[in-house]
Amino acid sequence: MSESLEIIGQKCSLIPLKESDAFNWVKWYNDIYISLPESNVYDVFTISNTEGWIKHNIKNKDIVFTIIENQSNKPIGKIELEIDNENNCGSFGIIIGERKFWGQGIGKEATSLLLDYAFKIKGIHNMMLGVYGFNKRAINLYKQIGFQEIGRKREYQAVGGRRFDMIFMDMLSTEYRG
Amino acid sequence: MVYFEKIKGKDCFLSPTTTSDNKNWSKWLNISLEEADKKIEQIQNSMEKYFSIVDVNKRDSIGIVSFNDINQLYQNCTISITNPDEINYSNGIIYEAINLALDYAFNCLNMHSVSLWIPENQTSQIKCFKQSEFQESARRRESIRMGDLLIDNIHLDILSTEYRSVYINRYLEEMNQYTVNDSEN
Repeated sequence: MSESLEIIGQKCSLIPLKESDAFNWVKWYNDIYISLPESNVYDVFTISNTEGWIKHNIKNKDIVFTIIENQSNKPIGKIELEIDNENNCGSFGIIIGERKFWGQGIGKEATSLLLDYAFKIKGIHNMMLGVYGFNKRAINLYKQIGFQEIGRKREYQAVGGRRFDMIFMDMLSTEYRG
Repeated sequence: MVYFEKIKGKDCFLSPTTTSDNKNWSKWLNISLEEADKKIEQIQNSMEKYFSIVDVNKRDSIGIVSFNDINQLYQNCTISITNPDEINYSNGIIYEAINLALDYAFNCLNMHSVSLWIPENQTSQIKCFKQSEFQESARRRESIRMGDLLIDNIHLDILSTEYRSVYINRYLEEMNQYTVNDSEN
């Protein structure tokens, strides 16, 4: 990823990941509302191991953006894109780690900014995501943006004694409305 | 070549992959003998489980079945088959190998779900998995590039509750008989 790439939206902007983001990641991933839907609840996050993770991301040139809320100019989440260049396919994941910003359309805009980048700049044809069946808020958001359910990995994860499906959703570049 | 009958069926058994299978790997994967040795040593030291599918009559390996992405916490993993000879899809050997492998996954590794993504044009393999009670649970559209063509990638999965043991249960029943006899004596 270009070190200087920044994608500016109305409510939020996507900026490149920095090593100093470790503190925020640790804070977010130690919040069960964030880590459970992300399958990270089982892991123990510390500043030290998270710095290592971020360094690894930066060294590998992984496409990971920090989401900045424009009004406060503060980091509130992260969004990442994984690309299969051979098949022009992508998958992505997003968290809005600062929960007070939920429900303000920031996740929707951040996702749209990433899709714009993926479809128009990186030439992705199929974009896919996986979301747990219990994460209704996220499922609704993805449907609003134009993703459609393409199937499920059945009974994928057990939470509180119940098993939930992993729902797969995808969108083709020809269906993208951005 | 030395094989061990870890999970045994009628026409084939599963034997842990060792470097003695390097010639077959080299041929099937189109890599050098040294690369095959290196690859086999790597997987032997990993968490992944690789088995040679050994034809009982020929006493030779005809392919590979492996479990990857094993997640003990979620109790799920993916399965992969390497079968260079199309005939083994129709003569029942791969079907039997899949069933033996599932016995290992569900009853030894204690998995709840086994799945795979497979391009829609691999019809023989898909047919074999569906015969073994896998079901299509998702279809990622136009996500595999084959020259100018874009084809779908299909997700197949099977749950432990949908699988009936072909080997381990028989073993347990046999062991149980011995136990009953012992206590009677």
